[in-house]
Amino acid sequence: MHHYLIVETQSALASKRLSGISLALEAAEDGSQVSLWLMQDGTQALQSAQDVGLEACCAHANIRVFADAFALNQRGISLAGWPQVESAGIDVFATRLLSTDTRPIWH
Amino acid sequence: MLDTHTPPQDGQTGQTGRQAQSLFLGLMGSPYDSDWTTTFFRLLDDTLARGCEVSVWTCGNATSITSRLMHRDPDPIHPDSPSQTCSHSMPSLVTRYLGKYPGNLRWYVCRYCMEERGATQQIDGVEIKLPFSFTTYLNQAEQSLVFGTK
Repeated sequence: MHHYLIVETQSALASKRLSGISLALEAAEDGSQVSLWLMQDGTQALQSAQDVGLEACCAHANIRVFADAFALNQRGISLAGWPQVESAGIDVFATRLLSTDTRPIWH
Repeated sequence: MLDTHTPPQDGQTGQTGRQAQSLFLGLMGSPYDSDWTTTFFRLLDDTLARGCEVSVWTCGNATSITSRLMHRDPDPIHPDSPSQTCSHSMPSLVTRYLGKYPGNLRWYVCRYCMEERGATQQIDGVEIKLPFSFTTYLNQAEQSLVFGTK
């Protein structure tokens, strides 16, 4: 069973459909384990009072959601409203990326 | 209806693979259209520091990252500032990493993309390759990730 590492770097303002979040849900529904990583402008999804797609990812048993700590600090974004999202540094991302059973996807 | 769940603790994500010793990073996008280059250099720094062999392939506008013509003006607010944080250019960063990790970092530049965009004056230490060799270097690495699009 592969582990998908899906990186979302785009905000909803730039992209009508957040492909990373949708892809994470599709992969998880197929039974794969997924790490969804919000990086760069992808962290702006956390500023939305209600993001249905992101909420679904946080609630899914097969998905673990991370937010890049550097991007959060740059943009002044708090995780206060998202208890299931984990702030993580680039070292944590690199560890997951380098795992040989990981399939990374960058959006 | 979705049930709430507790995020899995470390060790419960289902990942069982060992850590790859080699990584291929493909850079496709324009270096200044987002902060992806910042993310790339952060990842490059971390993976090289942990001893990983990293191959970087630049295509499209990313070939200008290592253009020796790229210049950064001194800090306009504090031109005499001893801080170097405003004076580093991307090619100077790459030069530093090539010098610091001579055995573990290989930097490839796609010849056709480079020539199409006039980024032909490249810094020392990078290797200019025909695009057909992309898959060769990709397949040599245990793990790969491509940033951006051309």
